[in-house]
Amino acid sequence: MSAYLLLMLLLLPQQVREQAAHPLAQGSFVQSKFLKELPKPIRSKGDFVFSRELGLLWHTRVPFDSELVITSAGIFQREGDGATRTLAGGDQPGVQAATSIFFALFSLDLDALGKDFKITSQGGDPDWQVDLEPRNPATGLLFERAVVRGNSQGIQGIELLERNGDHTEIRLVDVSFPVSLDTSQRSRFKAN
Amino acid sequence: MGGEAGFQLRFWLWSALMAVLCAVFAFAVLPRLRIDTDILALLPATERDAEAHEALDRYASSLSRRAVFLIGAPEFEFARSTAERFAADLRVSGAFSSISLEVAAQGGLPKALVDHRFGLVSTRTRARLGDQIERARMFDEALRAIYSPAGAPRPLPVVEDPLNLLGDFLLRALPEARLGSAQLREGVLTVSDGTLHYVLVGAEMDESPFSLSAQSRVMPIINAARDRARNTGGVEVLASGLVLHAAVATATAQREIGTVGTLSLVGITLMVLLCFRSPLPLLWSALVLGVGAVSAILACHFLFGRLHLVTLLFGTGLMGVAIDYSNHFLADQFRASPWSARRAYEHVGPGIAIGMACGVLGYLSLAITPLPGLRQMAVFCAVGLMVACASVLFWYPILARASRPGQRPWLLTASDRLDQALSRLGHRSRLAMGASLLILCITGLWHLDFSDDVRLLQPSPRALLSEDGKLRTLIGNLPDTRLFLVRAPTPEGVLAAESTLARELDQRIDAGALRAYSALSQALPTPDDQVATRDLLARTVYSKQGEAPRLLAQLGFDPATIASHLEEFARAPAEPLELEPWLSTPMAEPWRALWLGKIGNGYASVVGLTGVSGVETLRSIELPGVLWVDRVAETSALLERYRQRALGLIGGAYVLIGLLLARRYGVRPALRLLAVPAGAAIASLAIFGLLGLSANLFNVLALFLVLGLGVDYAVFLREGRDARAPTLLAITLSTLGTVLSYGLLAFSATPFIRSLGLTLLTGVALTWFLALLSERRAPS
Repeated sequence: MSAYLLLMLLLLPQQVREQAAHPLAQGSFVQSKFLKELPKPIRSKGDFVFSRELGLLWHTRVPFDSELVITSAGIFQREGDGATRTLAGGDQPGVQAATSIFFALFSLDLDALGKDFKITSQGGDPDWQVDLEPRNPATGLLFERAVVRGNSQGIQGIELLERNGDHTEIRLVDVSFPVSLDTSQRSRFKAN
Repeated sequence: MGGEAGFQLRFWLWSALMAVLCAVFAFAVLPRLRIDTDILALLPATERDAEAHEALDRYASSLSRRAVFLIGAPEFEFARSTAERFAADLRVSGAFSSISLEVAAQGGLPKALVDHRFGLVSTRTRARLGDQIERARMFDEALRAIYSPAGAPRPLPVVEDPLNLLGDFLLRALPEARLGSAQLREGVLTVSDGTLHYVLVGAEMDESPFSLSAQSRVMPIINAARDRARNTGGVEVLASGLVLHAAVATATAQREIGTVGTLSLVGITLMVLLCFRSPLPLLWSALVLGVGAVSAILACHFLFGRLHLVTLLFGTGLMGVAIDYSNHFLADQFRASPWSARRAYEHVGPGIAIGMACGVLGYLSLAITPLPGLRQMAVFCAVGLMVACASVLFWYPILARASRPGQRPWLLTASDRLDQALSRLGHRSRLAMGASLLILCITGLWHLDFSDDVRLLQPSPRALLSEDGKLRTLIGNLPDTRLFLVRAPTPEGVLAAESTLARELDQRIDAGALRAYSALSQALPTPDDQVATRDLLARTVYSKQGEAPRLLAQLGFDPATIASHLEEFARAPAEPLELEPWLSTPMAEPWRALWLGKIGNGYASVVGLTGVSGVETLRSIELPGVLWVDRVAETSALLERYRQRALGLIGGAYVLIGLLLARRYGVRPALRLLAVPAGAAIASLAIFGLLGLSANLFNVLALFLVLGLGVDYAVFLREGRDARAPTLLAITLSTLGTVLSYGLLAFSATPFIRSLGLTLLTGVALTWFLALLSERRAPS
């Protein structure tokens, strides 16, 4: 569920409105999952491309090659061998509710986000933090609390607490704001 | 017939009896009297077995007590605050047992689900687990899902449910059909049409929506909310619920009965005053009708426990028959002067008694049907007629006085002149008249068609229907009136039968005959399935080499942790989660209405349908314990059957009355007498055909009243041969009275009342005319 948060982190905090207004962003990520009863977190690394027009590519490279593609048409996963698998179409209940949040995010609709999350922000010079708390049980199934952290350079990372006791931390590095995407990047937004 | 003492004795005994009845009515019955307005209450729900009937009744009554409101405004916040106020108003009114605005927060996972989770796996996932290749794929997917930032919600931590089987189960069990396109927003359900945001408010009533007291408590609140909405720019209130339709039906019926009652009362009063030049006959008639009606209501109340609006309407028509006796008695005063009520008793008594006997015989033939509505009307009419007849015969000899001797009322003169004119008609003109009437009848009957669609008989106002339609379109998935009833000796059996049905329904969905269904078995697997699932998990997922320990090991969990979680699986309760405990979890809330519980010796549930487009392919599903229910179609079919049955009964009534008349007058005169109502009945049906109106059960019921009136008129004229003019006055008065009361019902907004009214209007007018023609005037 941290994919939502990634989008929020790119779009939402008022302090980074400048960056958020960018139609495109790309960079690398390091994700650590702290699973209950597991002594060491499990790590994954990769890179991402965000396009307000097309959606989000979340490309995990370590420990295996797998690319998550989130578009307004749905969510699918592209494996290392090139095969794609739909995670959520329009007809799957529950996941569909989640996609409606995506739409709100794509359009930078803070009002729409506000209907599902209670948003509080602190600081802003130079470090800031935004807390998101689900307002209703349906969104509460996704996570219990999310924290987005950043500074004047932009977003630094997010933390996601699940109700079940697992939690996830994502760190973003080397975020840049390109002017345009090349053809190969664009084609990755389409299922083949 | 006894002397003066006999008259006095009968008068006082009857008066005392009637006084007692009126007291019982006023003090014991009236406060508890229940009047049904639903046309369906006249009919048995369906002609199927009693248990299915009870089950459906239970479901229908819980459904009928619900109402749904959508409060719309351009901004969500405003819609929400308006909805909150509306919900608060509804709560204060006390008319509803529960109001739902906020969706109850599900405080964590119910323990029952976590305890029994090893049996709770969705059908699709269970099939995948049984397949080795698919299972390997699931392992891979689970691993990637743990690393990936996206995926289904996880109710349990990875270590407790590595494959997230519970998350998958809960996602697939979401009551999609219930919510339709409604979305959860800030804890309330909302829909939007692009311009307005609507907040959904649900309400459930304690009482039946047909109860007048419930209607009078609920409707002002709804109307006030609508008024407020109208005064606030852009706010819209949409409502749907049986109570709204029932309230409109009641209001229409009350208004019409009020108007018709007032107009006919004024008309009849004027007529009687003009004829008898004294208010006393009016008083006596009212007295006779009053005790007749009171006795009839009492009889129905004690025999059936309730009274239907249609019975009352039918009963109003009966009053037209009952007043015949009074008119006949009183009109006798114009026969001879000097006149005394004692001599009138001897003169008109036999005619009145025969008329009454014929009427009672006719109506009682209605009572042999198993149709509760018809039996009610039969009892109402038979009792009312007998009491009215007895009242005239016992009271009038003492009460009635000649008004003003020597004065002939204008109505007497007018009807007498018309009668003379008719009697002067030559043979040829009579023949021509008969022939043209015959042609009209044949043409009319040729074009006559019957339509028994219950929706056409009692339609709701267009505004209400379009509001209903709009609300349904917005919410998307309100349940259809058609459904499946599933029954079995045990709750487990019900679930098993449901899941067999579900497989059939899945195929129908793929074929496009249906959009969705909602069944308990979607949310809770059958006990057998749960046991089988657990066995499958024990072999494939939670064994030592199963997917769970392998996955956990790959993620880096240490062997002791893994072993302890395998033990957790072994320790979990082996018995499946049963229906009743599951139903008490908050997650089952949307499904509870589908469970009907214990019915007779078994259990029953409902499988609700949405978006039905292929009725035939659904109806063709035949499985043990599964019953296709289409109440609208069934009720229409039932109305048709009873219409046919009533037509047969009316034939029987003619035969019975014919035998009675033949005994007194001989065969040929009896046939002649019967020709009056028979001709009127056929002609009035033919008029429906000529006007292009379709007939139904209520036309046929009206024909019973036409029969009663027709026989009266014919018998009175026959018995009163030697005093034709006063008899003519009596039946003319009766005809005008009935036309005044029923002619007005023909303008009712409710089609079935219109059918009853129009048939009586034409039938009675024709009866009068035919009675005049049939009983020839003695040549003067």
